[in-house]
Amino acid sequence: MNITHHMRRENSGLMQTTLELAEEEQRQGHGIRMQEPSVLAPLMETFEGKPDVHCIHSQLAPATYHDGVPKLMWMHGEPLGSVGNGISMRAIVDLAPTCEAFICMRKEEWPVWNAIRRTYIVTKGIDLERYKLLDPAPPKLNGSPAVLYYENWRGQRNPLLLCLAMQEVQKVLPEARLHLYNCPGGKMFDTFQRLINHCRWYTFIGSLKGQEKDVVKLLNRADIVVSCLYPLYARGIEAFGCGKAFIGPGYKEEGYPYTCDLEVTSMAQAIIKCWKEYGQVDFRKWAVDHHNITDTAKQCVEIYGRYTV
Amino acid sequence: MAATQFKTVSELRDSIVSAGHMDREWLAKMLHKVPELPVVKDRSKYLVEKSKGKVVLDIGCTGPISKAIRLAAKAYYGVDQVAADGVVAVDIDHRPDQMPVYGDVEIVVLSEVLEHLANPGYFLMALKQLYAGKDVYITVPNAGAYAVREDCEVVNKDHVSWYSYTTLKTLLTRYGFEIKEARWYGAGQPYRSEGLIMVVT
Repeated sequence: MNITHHMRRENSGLMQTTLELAEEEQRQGHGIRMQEPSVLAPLMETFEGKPDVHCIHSQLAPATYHDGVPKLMWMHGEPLGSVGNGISMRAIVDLAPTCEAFICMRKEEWPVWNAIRRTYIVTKGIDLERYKLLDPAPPKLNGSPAVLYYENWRGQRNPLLLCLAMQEVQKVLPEARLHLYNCPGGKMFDTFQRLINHCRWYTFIGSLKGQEKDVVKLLNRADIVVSCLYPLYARGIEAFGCGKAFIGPGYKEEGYPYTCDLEVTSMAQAIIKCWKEYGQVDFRKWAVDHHNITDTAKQCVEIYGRYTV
Repeated sequence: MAATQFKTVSELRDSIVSAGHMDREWLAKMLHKVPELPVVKDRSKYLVEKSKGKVVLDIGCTGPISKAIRLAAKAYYGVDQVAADGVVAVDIDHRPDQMPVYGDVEIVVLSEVLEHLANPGYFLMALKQLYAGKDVYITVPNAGAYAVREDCEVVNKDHVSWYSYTTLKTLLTRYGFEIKEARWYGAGQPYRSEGLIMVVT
């Protein structure tokens, strides 16, 4: 099958998820084309001519609106945020009539997306060939445990509650340290630097750093990766691929023992429990069983196939 | 299959990630919408049309376009590296202050000149001073048209810079010019057009 993915060229979780999916589809023998909606020439392609299906990951080039090729739209964002930003939900609703169906990755969101267009759920997978345990292991971040926050920071998407949770964690685990990565600088950096100094959080905050290009290495240096996202969990599950624990208020998969709410005490308790039981759960196996991009790609291609005949 | 910008998904990912963290400050500083401007198919015809019946100062005036402008203009003054009939020799890159001042000039034509200059700022400063208030028709090759064929980059060997819509606008406004009109010229999609025309005063 020949698949065109329409994606904006921006550094984001959406971009990582889309590229990993496309890469896996290619590994499974499908033709892929990566297309930026505003540019006519493809960014890359492995086939010629019309695709069998268009996958929309944010926008679609107007030239393809009525080309007769089936279109499926991926729901990467979460519904409330999509309304809240004033743009995404409107764009989704505008594009819905041109799409055969939607695809989402979290069952909690399904009712919302399915109200707009028929929606399929697929496993949220990560590339386990890329996110893996490194051998030899890189030097560990300091702290026992070394807790890592590495989400993209913007607006309310920041580690404030995690800092407060770590204050509680440190009362039980005095050696615990928090490492804040991916801080965009500017006002956000300034705000957290002031908070750290004023609240004396420097006793447990080990780093406040910018973007780390080698994410796999960074994840391998941590013990526990924590996200403050709710109700979604975005890319934090990459930690599982690297054999590390992941805790996030938005991550409540059935059978996973370290869940929490978006609340300081709950987050702190999950971190403490996770560290006390560290070694009992094989996080890499959890990723293989629950978040394998190979499964995601197979499920997607099966869905595309329903519309290409 | 047509050559694409990236050969593999991995290459595309590396390119996006290495572009940096695209926060709002970065976006505001680094990303500038390429405007949808009217397109002039033939730069020569456009400049000749604008020169018809006008008193023209043509800076950098060798070549067929200048000949056509001279024929169309009511009166014509030329400035170039070498003096000729109706053309004064001035080293506009190093001594732009030596450009003659003709009081009756109505429009100034500066076609495919800026990209040859090592000191465009000094030149523009002098031009603004000597011909304040006059319409200046500036054309340059468009940076968006930059191309590499096989292992060769396609560029005139005498050029020392490329101008995009954004960089040309920044340069001109920095030296006090007000942009009255802008157009693409030549073939290609707008943002890849051969060149750019700006009318400033």
